Amino acid sequence: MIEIDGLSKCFGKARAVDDLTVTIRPGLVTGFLGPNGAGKSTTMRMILGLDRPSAGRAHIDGHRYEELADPLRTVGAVLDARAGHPGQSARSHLLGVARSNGLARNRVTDVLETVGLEDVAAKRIGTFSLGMTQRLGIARALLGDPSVLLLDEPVNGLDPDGVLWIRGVMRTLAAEGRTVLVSSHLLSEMQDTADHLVIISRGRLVADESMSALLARRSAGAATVRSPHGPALATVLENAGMSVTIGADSVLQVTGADLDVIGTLAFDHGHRVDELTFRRPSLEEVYFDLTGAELEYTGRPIRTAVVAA
Amino acid sequence: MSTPTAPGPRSPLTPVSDRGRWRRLGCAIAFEWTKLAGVRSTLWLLATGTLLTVAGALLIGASARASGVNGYDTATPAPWIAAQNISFTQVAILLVAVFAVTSEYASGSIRTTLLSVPSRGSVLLAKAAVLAGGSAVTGAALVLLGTVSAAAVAAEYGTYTGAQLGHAVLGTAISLALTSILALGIGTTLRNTAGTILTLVVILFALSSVLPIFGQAWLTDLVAYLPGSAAGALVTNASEPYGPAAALAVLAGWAVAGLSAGYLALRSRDT
Repeated sequence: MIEIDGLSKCFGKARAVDDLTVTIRPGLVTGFLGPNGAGKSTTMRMILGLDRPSAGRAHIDGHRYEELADPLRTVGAVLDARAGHPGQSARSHLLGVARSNGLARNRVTDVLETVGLEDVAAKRIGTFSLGMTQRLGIARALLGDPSVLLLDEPVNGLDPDGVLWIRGVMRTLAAEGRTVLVSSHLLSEMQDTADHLVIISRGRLVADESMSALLARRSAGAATVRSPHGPALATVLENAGMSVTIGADSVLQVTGADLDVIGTLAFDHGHRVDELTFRRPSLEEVYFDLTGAELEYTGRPIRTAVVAA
Repeated sequence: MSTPTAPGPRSPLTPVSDRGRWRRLGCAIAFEWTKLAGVRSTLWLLATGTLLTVAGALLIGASARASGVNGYDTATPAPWIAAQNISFTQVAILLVAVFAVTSEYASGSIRTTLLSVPSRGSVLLAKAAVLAGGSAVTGAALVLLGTVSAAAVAAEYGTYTGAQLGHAVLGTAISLALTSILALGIGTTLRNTAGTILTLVVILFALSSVLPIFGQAWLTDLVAYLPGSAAGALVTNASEPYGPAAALAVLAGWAVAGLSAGYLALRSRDT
């Protein structure tokens, strides 16, 4: 369990993380989402004692990271790909890390097999591809058989096989009752993996709820209506107080009412309806709805510069 | 690379017991040693240092003999030739100390280090122990090797006593150990390789020539308290400007000051 309480981090005047309070529970994969610069990595580094909080605290199983006697037995972390000396072999790198926490030597072989790197264990880390480096990071995180795992953008640089594999690893680890916190900017990846979502924007918490609750809460009254009398039906629905947009082939996107209300209105006014479906929002829509107004680095349309002669 | 598996049955971990402070420091030292011995640059630098030591000792020894044969009084005990030569070849050993910390910042492995050993003091103490121990053993071995090389070519112009050899070996071992700790401290403070090497060169070599230029007596007096001067006094058993005990104190002071600066930087900075 990770308990974050009033955690803040200032860089000069900028507040990277602003009074964040959230609890990451065991047995679930918790997705940690937010736009670039929202403070995800900074929060993770503060949990791990790498960055000093400006205020507040982060506890892992009731302790600050620095207080853990052999931290790797409690917490495994995959931060960024560059985490070892490029001149060191994978096995030597893991062996050093294992020794630092008094872990048995055979754990190194175990985790190398788990991530599928046993054949290249004697190769220098500097020769590894990004995907292999990410696997090495997972191996290092699993060395101490920790109850808490933090993964910062773990699918970065992985091929589809690797993405599928890491998704399985995270699901398995959570199913074993461990706490799994994974940050990502790949929303579709999260939609398939995470049970629970913590979304931050500009360092502030904007959502902390289960994936299903989040999607359900945002999907109320979103319907697609296809009818040969599209524009006429649109007027009827708008008069009933709904919000309607007319798309291609007069397909209506209707928000503000349930399916039965729309169907009844169409029937009453004699409009044939060919399709009336509940439109499930994607995580993208929910995400942009929650964070869109607060994007840290909002792109601007590119304008052609006019150069004065 | 083979197909990865799901995290399967795990080997039993060693029981969490007897995890006292000293045992944890021992684990941290084993970690640092594995890192230092596991990279090729360490071996290359030590090989370079050995080569320079032998070559330098042969050259100086041969020169001493040639001058002696021609009637000049240049007889020098072979261990002194070897020890003086170390003041140049020590650069290879000090680079090992510098890289031990700056390469961690360059490669990002400092985060792995601090995640494994969150106590900043333990990280620095472990690094200091490994580097000081390694430097002392290497320095002693190089002086022995240099002495044998120099004595072989200098012949009767390089005769020495056992006490002279013992002093050169011990003095070099201690001075290299302390200078390595100073290098570690500067590296931890500055974090980058180029800046650390530049600072070391200035403190160890350049300042002793630069300070007297200003013509201020107190600046010139300061030269005696630079780590290079102290190391020289420690190695060669000179009574100028002070004896070995004072030299040891001065050099240890530099090492402690460097390590303290590194500790404060490591504690206060984000990683």
